[in-house]
Amino acid sequence: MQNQWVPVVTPIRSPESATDTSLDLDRPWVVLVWNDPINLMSYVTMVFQKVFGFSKAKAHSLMLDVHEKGRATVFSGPREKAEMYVFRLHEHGLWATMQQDD
Amino acid sequence: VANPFRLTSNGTVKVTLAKWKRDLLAELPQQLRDLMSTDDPSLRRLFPVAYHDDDEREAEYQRYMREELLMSRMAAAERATVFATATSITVDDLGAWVNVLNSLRLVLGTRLEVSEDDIALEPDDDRIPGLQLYSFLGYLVDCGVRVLSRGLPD
Repeated sequence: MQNQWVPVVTPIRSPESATDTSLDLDRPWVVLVWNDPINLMSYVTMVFQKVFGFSKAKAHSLMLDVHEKGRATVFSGPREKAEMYVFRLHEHGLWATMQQDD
Repeated sequence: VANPFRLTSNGTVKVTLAKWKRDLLAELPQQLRDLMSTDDPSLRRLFPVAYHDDDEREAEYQRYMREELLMSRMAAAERATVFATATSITVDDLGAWVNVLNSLRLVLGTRLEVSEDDIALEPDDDRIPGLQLYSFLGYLVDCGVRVLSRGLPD
C-alpha cells in the first residue's frame, strides 16, 4: 500500500508496453477441463483424485462443475506445470486445454 | 451383476470374465494399436489440443508431446492384451487397463457420434452392435473405477 504523502504518478503506457511479454510472465497459466459426452462421471472424478491428489469431495465437486457449467479450472500456476498436467489429463482421455489467465 | 474386478485380501485384483468377453478384450487393444498407426479422425479424442487459443504454442507442444503420448498409449494397449487373459492382476495393472478401456470408448463414442441426449434407435439400426460394445466398455470402466477409487484418499 502506498503512503498518502507520495504523489500518485499515473504511468504513461505506449501501445507496445501494453503487450510487453515481461508483464505476461506474471500471469499464471490455467488448465481447463471441458465437458464431454463420453467420459463417465465416476471416471473423471477418479482421474482428478489420481492426477492432482484431490480429496474425493473436491474431485467430485470439480467434476460436477465440468458437467454442469461446461468446463472447470483445475490448476493455476507456472506454464511448465500446467503443460505437465495437461499431458497427464490427455493420457487419461480427458479433454483438457491450457491458457494464460485473463 | 457382480463386479468382474474384485480386490482380494492380499491386495491383488481377481478378474472374473466369460471366455468370449476375454477374447474380445484381448482383441480390441490390438485393433486400437493398428488404428493408432493411422491418422483416422476417430482418434481425435485420444490426441487432444493443448493450447486451444495459441496455434504457435500448440504446434510446438504437439511436436514434443504427441510422440510421447502415442508411445504411452501403444505400450498401455499392449499390456491390456495380456490383462484380458489374466485371472489375477495388480491394482496398477487395473488402472492401466481401465485407461485403455476408456480409450476404446473414446474412439467408439467419437465414431458413433455419441451425445448426452438419448439416441432413438430402430431395431435394425446398424449402430446397435457398436452401442452395445460402447455400453459394455462403460460398464467395465465403471466397475474398474469402483475398485481403483478405494485405493485413493477420501
